[in-house]
Amino acid sequence: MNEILTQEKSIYLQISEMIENDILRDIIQEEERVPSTNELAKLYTINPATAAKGVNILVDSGVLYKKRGIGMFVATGAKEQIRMRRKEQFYDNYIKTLIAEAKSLGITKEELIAMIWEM
Amino acid sequence: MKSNVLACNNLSKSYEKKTVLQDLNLELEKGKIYGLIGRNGAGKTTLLSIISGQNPASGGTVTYNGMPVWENEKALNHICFSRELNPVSGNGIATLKVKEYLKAAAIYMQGWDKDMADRLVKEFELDVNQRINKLSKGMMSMVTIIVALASKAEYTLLDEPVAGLDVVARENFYRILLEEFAESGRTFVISTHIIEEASDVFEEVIMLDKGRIILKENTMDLLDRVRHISGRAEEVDKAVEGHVTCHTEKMGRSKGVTVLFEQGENPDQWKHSAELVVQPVSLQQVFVALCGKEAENG
Amino acid sequence: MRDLKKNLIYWGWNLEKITLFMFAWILFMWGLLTFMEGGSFAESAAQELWIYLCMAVFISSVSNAFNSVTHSFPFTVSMGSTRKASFIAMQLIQHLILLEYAVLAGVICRFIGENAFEIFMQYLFAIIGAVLLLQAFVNVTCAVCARFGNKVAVMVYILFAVLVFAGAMYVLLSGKVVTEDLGNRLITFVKKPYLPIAGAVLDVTAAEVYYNFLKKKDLRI
Repeated sequence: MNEILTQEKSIYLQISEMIENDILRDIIQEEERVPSTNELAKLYTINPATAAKGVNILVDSGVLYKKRGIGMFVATGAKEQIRMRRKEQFYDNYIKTLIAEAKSLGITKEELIAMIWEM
Repeated sequence: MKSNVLACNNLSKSYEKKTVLQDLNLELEKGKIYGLIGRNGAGKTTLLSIISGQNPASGGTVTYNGMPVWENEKALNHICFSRELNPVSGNGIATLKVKEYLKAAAIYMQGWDKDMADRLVKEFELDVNQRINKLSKGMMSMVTIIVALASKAEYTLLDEPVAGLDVVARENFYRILLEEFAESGRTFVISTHIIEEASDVFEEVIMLDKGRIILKENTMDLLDRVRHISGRAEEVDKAVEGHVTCHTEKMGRSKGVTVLFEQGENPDQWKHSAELVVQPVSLQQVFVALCGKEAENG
Repeated sequence: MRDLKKNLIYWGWNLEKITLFMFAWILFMWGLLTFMEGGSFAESAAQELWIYLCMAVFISSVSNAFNSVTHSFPFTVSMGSTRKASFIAMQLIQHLILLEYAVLAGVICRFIGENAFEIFMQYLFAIIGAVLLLQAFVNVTCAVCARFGNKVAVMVYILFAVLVFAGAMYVLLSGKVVTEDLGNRLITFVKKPYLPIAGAVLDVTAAEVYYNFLKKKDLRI
């Protein structure tokens, strides 16, 4: 929750990703309360509506759930859900970019595979 | 008429021969922080002073919940326009002591929160016995901010509140503003030149250029649909064909274009392309792209 | 109504500051003159005090009015007041201050003696008339200031001062312009309520014109 916001990406996406990261690393555990939109707004000096949008993405995907009058809580199984989804996105987010960069550098498929094997 | 709304209807303003605002329509809903941005002389201060009923419009009306704002006590009670102060500002306001200025505000503002004003004076370490024209620029900004926040007005307009503040004080101001906003749900309209750091605070952004509103949109939605696309000129041209572009820069074979995508279009469709670089754009860059046109021609 | 109340508080606070200073100055002069005359307050000292009083009335009403049109009025509007309420409060307080001076004059006469107070009461219409005419004059110059700017208004003041000075010089140099007969008729005239009526009419008319200029003026705040 204490990462720094960048200009590279929409703020609300960064907010939802930060909460996800904290859940993945057990900084926030399942069935624990996450900071309110106003707390997030104050911490990052962003509009509460922006913070709410980020939080709502997680509510919509079932990672968080609302307890009326108390706040937002991490759903049971949220960590696993995030892991699965990120795994699915791994190809789009990392492999595609990797290949695009490799292409412009003239790195062949074989060279690329060799590099991965070396790890 | 919508309720809980401050609206400008076909507003225009001209001084003698100079037209400052032209046929301007604007609705300010309750419970939002609006950012009003525009270049020098775009008409920001004029617009704010007319919205707050302090100066007359040449044409059109400003209404609060359907009733005219001009000379209407019932409407004016809900609006506070805290002006930018400077050493020569306004007809002797500058020669007042800070405490006299705050005392007048306390008399006139219906919901004046004295505790809050006192607390902020302490927090900002402001010397209330000092005359306004003897204050530093930053201190003057603080007086503007205190009046705006402690007014507790439903619609609070601020003209360049952070102009004289250093980075730390600016950050501090936005934090206090957000705190007050979260607690009260008041509407704030804030004009500023310092766009970058404020863009995350504004729920909606209003861009004013040469007396016209060229854009009024939710800041997140706006940034979501604007991309900078660059690469080999032909590739870029092919990609952006049929899209709304607002700024182009060329250098040799390469080209960069700022594109405004419509609702429903995917701004990131070329994200994984090897030929094109697609980057998100900051609010400041959008502003420059939209309002900096003449620089391109000249 | 609330708007008017707020404005009365502000204008009262704003204008009475200068007035109280002027009062303090008059009382100081009173004390000084009494001391110099050796304890008892003589007629001659009273006459000098009257000159100071007239000066104070003129200076404070002119400076109040100028200050109001250039500084205070735009300021009250910037604080969210309606122009109308601010203007009405400004006029009410300015008149109130003139009334305070009249009362002060009465009090001074009372102290000088029964006789002086009687004379004061005899000339009450003349005094009220003069006060209203002064306010009418102030409103005219403020209207000029609101419409044509400070510089033109200052020129009007200078012109007025020159005219008064020239008139006074003419009367003094030409010797017997004021015959006894004319003087007597003048005295009977000023004891009648014509002056206050004329003053009130002029005052209200000038205020009306003044407000019309202010009503839609672009205030540089």
